[in-house]
Amino acid sequence: MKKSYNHDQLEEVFQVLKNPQKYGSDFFQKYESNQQMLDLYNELRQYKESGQKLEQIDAPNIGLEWQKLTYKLKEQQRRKRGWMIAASVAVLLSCAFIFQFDRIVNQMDQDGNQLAQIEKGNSKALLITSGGNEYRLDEGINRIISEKEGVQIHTDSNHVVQYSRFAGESNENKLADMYNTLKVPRLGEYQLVLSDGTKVWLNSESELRYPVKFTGATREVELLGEAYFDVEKNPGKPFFVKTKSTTTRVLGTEFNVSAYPSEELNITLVEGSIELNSKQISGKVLLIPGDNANLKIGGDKIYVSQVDVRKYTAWRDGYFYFEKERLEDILTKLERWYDFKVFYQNPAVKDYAFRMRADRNEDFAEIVSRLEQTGRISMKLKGNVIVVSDVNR
Amino acid sequence: MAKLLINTTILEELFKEHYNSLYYHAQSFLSNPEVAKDIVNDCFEEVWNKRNQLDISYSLKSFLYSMVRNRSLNYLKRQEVEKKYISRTLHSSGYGEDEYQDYDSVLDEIRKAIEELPPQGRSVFKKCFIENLSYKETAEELNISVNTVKTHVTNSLKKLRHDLDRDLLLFFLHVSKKK
Repeated sequence: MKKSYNHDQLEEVFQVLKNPQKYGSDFFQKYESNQQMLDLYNELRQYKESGQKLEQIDAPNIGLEWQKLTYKLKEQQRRKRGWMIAASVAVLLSCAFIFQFDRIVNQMDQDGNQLAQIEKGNSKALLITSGGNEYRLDEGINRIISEKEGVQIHTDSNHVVQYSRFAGESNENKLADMYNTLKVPRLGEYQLVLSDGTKVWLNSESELRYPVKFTGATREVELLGEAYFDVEKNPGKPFFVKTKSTTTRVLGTEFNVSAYPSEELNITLVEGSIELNSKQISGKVLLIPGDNANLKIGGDKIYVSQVDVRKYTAWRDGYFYFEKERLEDILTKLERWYDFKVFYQNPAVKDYAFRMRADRNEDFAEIVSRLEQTGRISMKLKGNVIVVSDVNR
Repeated sequence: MAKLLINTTILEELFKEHYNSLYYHAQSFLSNPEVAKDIVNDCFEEVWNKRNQLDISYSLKSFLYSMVRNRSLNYLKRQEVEKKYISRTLHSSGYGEDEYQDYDSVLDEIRKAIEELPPQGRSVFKKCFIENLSYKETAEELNISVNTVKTHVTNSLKKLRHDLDRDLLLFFLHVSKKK
């Protein structure tokens, strides 16, 4: 089978492959019954597929994608379980076993001392090197990890990861493709200094993928979860933070990005200026210091407003800062730092707003007692599940 | 017939082993990394949700490949791509997982052929065939004439087709047979 073509046809197919959303429709309509052109499309598409794979163009971060998937599956399961709990509670209530339920709750009360045993977070992370090796960075361990191409990774007792000793600059090309990933689990936090001097604080349940050295014309990192960036100024080499839905362009500045899967996205600028791009919006959004850009789950608009930045950045300085924040949002954040789960006996309490400032070093019991002192809710521990209810019901 | 049971460990293995290939398959249709990643992720989610019904006598990878292709095309369909094209060239092949039996080795052959291209031929190949730039853009980027680009494209295509004749023939017969 000889497949003929001319250069115009080739260029036509290249154009479709490059921008299928724009040109695909017309192309397929035009050549609907032209098997030769459709074959050519398929042939060139396969060359592209194989070539992109070979050159690792726009290579995905598989670890990050896997984490997204597991989040999604967990979320699915939690929703199912949530319904089951809600259903059983409904049955209990409708059968007028209310006092018995009360008794169970009172019993839980006596287990109050369990509260003191709820574990709180500390510095821990997992470092994944370009070769796929994983290193646990536990609290206060000094160590040196050797990467390829003479790169050394230092971790110190202040819970900071740093890169150094790039043996000669001749192997820049090899460094270009070396990416590391720092993964911080639930109940963890960690700090990182990138090769350009940029400082990154990673919050619990977060992950950052970055090149061992920024060799290209730009500096790009990929974030899942929450991080605070203090970007080293270098106007000639812009810094980009990518999340699932946004790209932030930075020249040299400090800002916080909170991009947890299945939560709204917040990007807060502390100083300098940043430019925001997202597939949800056309054009760019420019932030000035004190601005917070917010994207709701599934939303198609980015809302920018001036905020009290402490609300978004307090975690980096070691405390929680809630200013008229919904209880559910407060507890979601606490859940990342303390080892407990929540069950809302009265769903209405989720929307109660509270104001609180607390040290991340504080025991969970202390935080619970402060929330209870408001006289609006009660929090009882069963196992590691906190049952939250409205005291007035 | 052996029933394939999927647990989280197996799912993770499948994911880590095949994610890259499936992503580039989606990309070849979509040219949109974010959508491509979402689609591949959704396919794994679907495999997980159907894990109890999946009784797969054929390879799970072929199944994933065809799911990625169908979803990519469905995505384009939502983008107003002519439905007839989709039903004609691809869907009519019964969501054919069969087509994907040897797909990896086809791509591998292509990769080898690309690697054997001479240096300048390869950089032109990269611009035109991988990044899909126009001849003019390629000429400008590489600082050569459009005619030189054309010559390289012709030579590359000749070489690829020569090296791959057997493999591509199989694949394309499969598509055109369903006419």
